[in-house]
Amino acid sequence: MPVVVSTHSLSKKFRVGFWKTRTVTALDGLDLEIHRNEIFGYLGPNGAGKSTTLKLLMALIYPCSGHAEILGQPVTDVSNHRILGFLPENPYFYEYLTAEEFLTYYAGLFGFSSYEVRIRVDRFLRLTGIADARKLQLRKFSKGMIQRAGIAQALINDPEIVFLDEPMSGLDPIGRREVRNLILRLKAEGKTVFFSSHILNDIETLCDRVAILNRGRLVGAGLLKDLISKQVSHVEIIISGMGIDQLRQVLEPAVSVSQVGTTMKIEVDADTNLNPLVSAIECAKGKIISVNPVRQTMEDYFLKVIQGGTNNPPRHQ
Amino acid sequence: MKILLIAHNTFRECVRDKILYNLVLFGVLIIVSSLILGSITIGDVTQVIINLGLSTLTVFGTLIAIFIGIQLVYKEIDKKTLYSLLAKPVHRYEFLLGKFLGLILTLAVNIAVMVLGIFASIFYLRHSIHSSDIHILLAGILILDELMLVVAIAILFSSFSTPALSALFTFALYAIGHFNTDIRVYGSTSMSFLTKALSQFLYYLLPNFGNFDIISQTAHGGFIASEVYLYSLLYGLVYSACILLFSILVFQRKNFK
Amino acid sequence: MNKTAASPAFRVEWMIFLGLVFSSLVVVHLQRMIDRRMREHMSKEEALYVTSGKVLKKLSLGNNGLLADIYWMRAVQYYGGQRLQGEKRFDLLEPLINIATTLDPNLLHAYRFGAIFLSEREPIGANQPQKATDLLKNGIDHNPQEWLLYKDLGFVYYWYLHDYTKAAETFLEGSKKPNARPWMRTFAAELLARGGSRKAAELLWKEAYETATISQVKENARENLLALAAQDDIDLLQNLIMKVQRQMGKPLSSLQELVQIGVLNRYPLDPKGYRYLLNPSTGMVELSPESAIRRVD
Repeated sequence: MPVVVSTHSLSKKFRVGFWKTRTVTALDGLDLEIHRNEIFGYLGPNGAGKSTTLKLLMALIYPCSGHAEILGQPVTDVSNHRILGFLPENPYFYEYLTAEEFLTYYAGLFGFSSYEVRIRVDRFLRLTGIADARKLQLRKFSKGMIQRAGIAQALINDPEIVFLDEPMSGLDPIGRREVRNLILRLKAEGKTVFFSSHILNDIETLCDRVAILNRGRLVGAGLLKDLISKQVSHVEIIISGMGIDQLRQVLEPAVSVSQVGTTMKIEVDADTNLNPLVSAIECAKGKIISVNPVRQTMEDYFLKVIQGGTNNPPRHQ
Repeated sequence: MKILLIAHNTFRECVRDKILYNLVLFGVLIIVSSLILGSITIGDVTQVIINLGLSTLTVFGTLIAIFIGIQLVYKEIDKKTLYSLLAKPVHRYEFLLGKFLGLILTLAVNIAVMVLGIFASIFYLRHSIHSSDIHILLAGILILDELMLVVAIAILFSSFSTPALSALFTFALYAIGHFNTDIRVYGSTSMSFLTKALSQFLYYLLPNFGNFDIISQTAHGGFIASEVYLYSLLYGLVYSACILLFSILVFQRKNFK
Repeated sequence: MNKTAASPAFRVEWMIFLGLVFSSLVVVHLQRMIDRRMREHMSKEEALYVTSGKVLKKLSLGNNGLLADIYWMRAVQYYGGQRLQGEKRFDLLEPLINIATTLDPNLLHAYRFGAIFLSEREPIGANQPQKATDLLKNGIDHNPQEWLLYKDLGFVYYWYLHDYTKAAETFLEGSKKPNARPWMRTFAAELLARGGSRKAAELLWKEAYETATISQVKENARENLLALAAQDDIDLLQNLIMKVQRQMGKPLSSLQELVQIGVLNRYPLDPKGYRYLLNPSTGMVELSPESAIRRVD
């Protein structure tokens, strides 16, 4: 798979404070490679450096050290932007423009003919579902509609590589599903999608590969299927008809017990022999409602690497 | 081409932010004074109208130039509209020049309408327009030239400072620029070589807004010699270009946090 | 920042920098052209856009104190500039001072030094002592308790207008004000008794010299004292020559003869070291034409 976006020991420090004397490291030696026609998920808690990375790739800020390339050209080369699309985080556009004027303005910057501009504006207004509001000033748009307008402007030039910073934020469940479908469609059209999110579910259902960022450092990266173990990590047993104290008396002290509504939940290791446990509960007149083997999820992995610091699974090549 | 698109959008922003509404105020002022002055003044009323009209034009223009000028770039950074714009194939200098031209276009329209208003008022009072009245138009053009310099200064300051400070700096430089000649006179009367050199340096470094002070001459029918007019016009253009280049240099290196 | 020297961004920055240097040179050149042309066209009617202090007071939006200071400084700079350029005219001096004092009627130094600038003879001042008295009277109207203004007004009457009665009246009036120095009363009496005697003048200038706090004012007083001293010398020499001529029975042709016959042990010099000269046609002792001593009549 050819690499379309790469960063090499990319670092960014910001000077903060009144005298600009303290420095805060926003990004620390980031190495990333994004392959053609993949959906790349960029995951991390708020403030991890996701937006900083995207701004560096858009040359909105400059790195303190290291460098980044898009299609082999340095990111500072503005001519790259012909084949890029970018949706900033919490976008905000010219509120005095109507959706149509806004897209016409941005499409014009690519030097399309006025006829082609009109075609494209029309197409992307429809694609993002804001065609009905085309004559409405953006100041009257809801947050979700702004997000849609933002996606429309990011796609207006049919970019080869699309960078989306938190594209799902501010959207309702229907909107999220639409954006999800849109991203899958972009992949089907042969485009590369780089998108950042702090919402695991979005990443989990969409991405081919992910990178996890915490406090400016890459703490994990790889194919999604490698990161999420197929193995059962533990077993969850739901029991009713017993109080929590009663249950504790029956079980070994090490077993974790919690109350869920009127029922009790027990979590035991995957390799535990369940038979003695089940018979003990039944002896105490408890009723077993379900026994679920639980596999490791993206969330577990995420929490593990975020809390575990830096010594984590090797980076995927 | 991209610069013109950005300029057009900036002009549209100014219009939709109702900046040209100051023309209504100007219109009321010039109409009322035309009606009243005729009955309370002896002598050439048109002279008063020209003085009043051009002064108002300068004051309004300067206020717009400073307060919109400092916001031009800052607003786009603050509201993050710049992020998506610079992700298009747009160079930073194209953005800066586009914003600059957009506001100049707004000011040009503003001044053109005001100059027309002055002409209309003179025609009402005198029932004729003399060929020498072209000086009013020439004065308007020189004022636009002056405002261009003010906008350039406002953009420069706003490219590295907050709006409030930028407004303060721009206004200060505008005020100092009007007293620039005094700096030189002060230096030439001083005995100290250091003072002399410093005042000479400051005299040429700081913008000399005194070059554009032609309102009273225009009103008296006389006009500064044509070559001085041209030099002043060029001075404004080249000085603005100089400041814009410097702004681009600053802006090119800026990190948009 | 991209640190690769050959990168396009770097090259663009260099071009911008060169453009910056070039355009700033053009700006300086244009300013010089404008200044040269403006001097040709505007040398006679100098720029003073607003001539009314009252209008300016309104326009200053309450900052009249600052504006008064600025106008006062402009007056000082104008005065200095005209002197330095060898101009003998000070047409704008009075309006500038008037604007400053209208903006701030308590601007004492504007009245006081303004009066000196206005009343000194050309080329040192504007030779307009009448305007100086108007200025000072205006100052007294606004600051009736300020004895220094009376002192200055009396001074102008005495020294520049030779109106000894008015001078004496003014000094007497001023001596009644708070903090007035006792010599004012003495001097008024002296003036009434002896009119324009050099003794009185010396007294006055000596007082001015000793009390001056501003170097220019002190310097001016010193110059006048030196001029008076030179006048004393000339009177002395004149008497000496009269006596010698009476004894020898023939007119002297130069002061050198006084040294030759041993009346003086060296050639007489004025307080600034220039030779006194004897004008053979009139028989009067005079200052050398090169002498830096101020001329008084």
